[in-house]
Amino acid sequence: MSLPLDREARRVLPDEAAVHRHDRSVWTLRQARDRAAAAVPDFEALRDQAAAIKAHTLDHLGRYLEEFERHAAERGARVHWARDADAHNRIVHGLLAERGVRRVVKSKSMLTEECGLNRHLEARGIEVTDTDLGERIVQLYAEPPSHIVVPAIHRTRSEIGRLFEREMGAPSGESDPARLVEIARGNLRPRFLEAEAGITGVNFAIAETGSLTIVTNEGNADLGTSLPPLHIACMGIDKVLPTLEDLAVLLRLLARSATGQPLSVYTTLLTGPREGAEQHVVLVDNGRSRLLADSRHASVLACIRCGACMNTCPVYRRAGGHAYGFTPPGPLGAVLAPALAPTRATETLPFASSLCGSCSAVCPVRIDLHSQLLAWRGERTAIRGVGRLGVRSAAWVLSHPLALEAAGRLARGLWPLWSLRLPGNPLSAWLASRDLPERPRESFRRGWRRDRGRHR
Amino acid sequence: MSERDPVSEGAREQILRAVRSATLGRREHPGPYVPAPTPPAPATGALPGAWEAFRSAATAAGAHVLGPVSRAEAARAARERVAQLGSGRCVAEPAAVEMLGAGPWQVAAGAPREFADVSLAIARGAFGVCENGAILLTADLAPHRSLWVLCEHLWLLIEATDLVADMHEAVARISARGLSTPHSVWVAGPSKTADIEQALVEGAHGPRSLWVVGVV
Repeated sequence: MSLPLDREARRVLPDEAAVHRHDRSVWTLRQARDRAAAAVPDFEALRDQAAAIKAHTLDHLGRYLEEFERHAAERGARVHWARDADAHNRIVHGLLAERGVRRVVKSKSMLTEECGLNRHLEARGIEVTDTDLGERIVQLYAEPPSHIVVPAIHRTRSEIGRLFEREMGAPSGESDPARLVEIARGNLRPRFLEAEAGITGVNFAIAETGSLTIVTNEGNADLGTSLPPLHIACMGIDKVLPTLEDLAVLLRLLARSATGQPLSVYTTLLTGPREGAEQHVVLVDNGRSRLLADSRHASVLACIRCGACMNTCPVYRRAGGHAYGFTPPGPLGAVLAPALAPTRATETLPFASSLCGSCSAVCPVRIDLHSQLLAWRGERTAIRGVGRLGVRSAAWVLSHPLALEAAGRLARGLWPLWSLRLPGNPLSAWLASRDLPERPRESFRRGWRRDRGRHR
Repeated sequence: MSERDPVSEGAREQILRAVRSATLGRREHPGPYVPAPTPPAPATGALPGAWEAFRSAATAAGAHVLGPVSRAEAARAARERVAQLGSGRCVAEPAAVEMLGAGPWQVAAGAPREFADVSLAIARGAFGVCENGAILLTADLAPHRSLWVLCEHLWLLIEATDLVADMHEAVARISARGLSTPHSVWVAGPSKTADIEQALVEGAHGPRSLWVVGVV
């Protein structure tokens, strides 16, 4: 059975060179993560602590959300609640429209990506500038991010050079990353200065103080929240933490797991609006409370969006983020998508996995991602029609020894046909990058019966 | 307390109800919350080797580290840096001016957008963090947040003994001194990005260089 992700992967990374380049870039991040983890003696204990903090918080989420709301309001923030993406978009647009805002700078937020905020605002005449460099690149390409930490990781420097030539007046043929960054800096600076509002995501919201924590390397969230008179912070209800002490644990893990830095360049704690400015926080459910009720899958809400599961995943590395057809991609997306956006296509995502467990092995909050992938396979009826018939037939054959013997003989008899690279060959996906091995002379069972005494 | 709008109010009740019913009866962690272990008493800065640990982490994050030096030496180094950068505008947060004395720098004042043309910004941080080389900039010592991101180059001063070992100690100090309002920002190195083919470039949107100066 060929999965949608299989087919998309061939479109996204069309040749072996592209696959290799993507694999290498992503793997660099995984290696950096390993070095950073090894440099902290209590890293594994920190992961335990983080998992416990998140489990506790999710179990008492109602209490902490109310506590956060109360303290944020006491500090002068306005807190809004949105049940779904549409409500979120309407709240944000309402805030902007009431103040006559036409130009907005936005720092990275996977939530606004999930809600389709940009489209909603642009359709209503508001210009949104994504300011994270990677996000700006994918925005100009009118495509979704292919990675949550490095959104344009699928693009080469020459592609970005051509894009900047078209969009920012870069000199023709420019492909030096430092000069391209300089061009983007010059292009985006006036937008920061002219923006009438800044929208940001939220990495962590602190219940005991009502603070928002926003992490960037570029400083774009700091410009976006310190210049315009209006700051709108958009966050899923899963982003709250009880205390600043808990924040310390999560911050020690986040950047190390994401890029291998001990801390990102800017870790910004905002408690209430700055003088003369407004701060609004939009708390968004959009399927999270439903997921919270699902005891098998609720723990994925502990995710801190570091991207480590993507960087290590053999499927993501070779397929590219866009192949998933869902943001976020990777193992995280494959367990989130069937819960938050159940469709025929997203329900096949848990099948596009080797179940190697590498994602679970690096997750800073110890989400059992590979077990959840397996669990989704049993819970969703993505194997339909021929696929399901195939699985049932296989089950029957495997439980009847004579049938298995006969099937084996048949398969060996038809061997020359299996190696034909023709449409309709069920092995064609496998044969795309491999050759069929030589035909076995006899069945494994027969060889085993004959030889097993000899190798003891 | 601010008033709530009615649409959002209905959503609030619905979301909280859904969250509470989702978590009802699934208590793997019953009883009161036990917070993370209390960190050791914050005395790191006085320990031998603390400054070296901080220096090495800050350098790894891309900062130029100077010190420990006297206030007079720090002021001399700052003047040299200003001269090096040429004719650009140089602005210092009041707490930094207090530390360095008067010099070729203006005292920070004005609206956030007015710092767009600043070449060098000078600010005083509350303390440094040894495990990651970050400096905490707080609203009491460094109130002009846009200044230290809009500037081309940033120069941060700390007391060389004002160091904490790690983030646990750092937040303990923030809590104890009520430093989170309205902002507290950890800055580790110059602004950077690796969004183009993983090539590390310093000077993304914020400062292109960061100097960290420990003063005794």
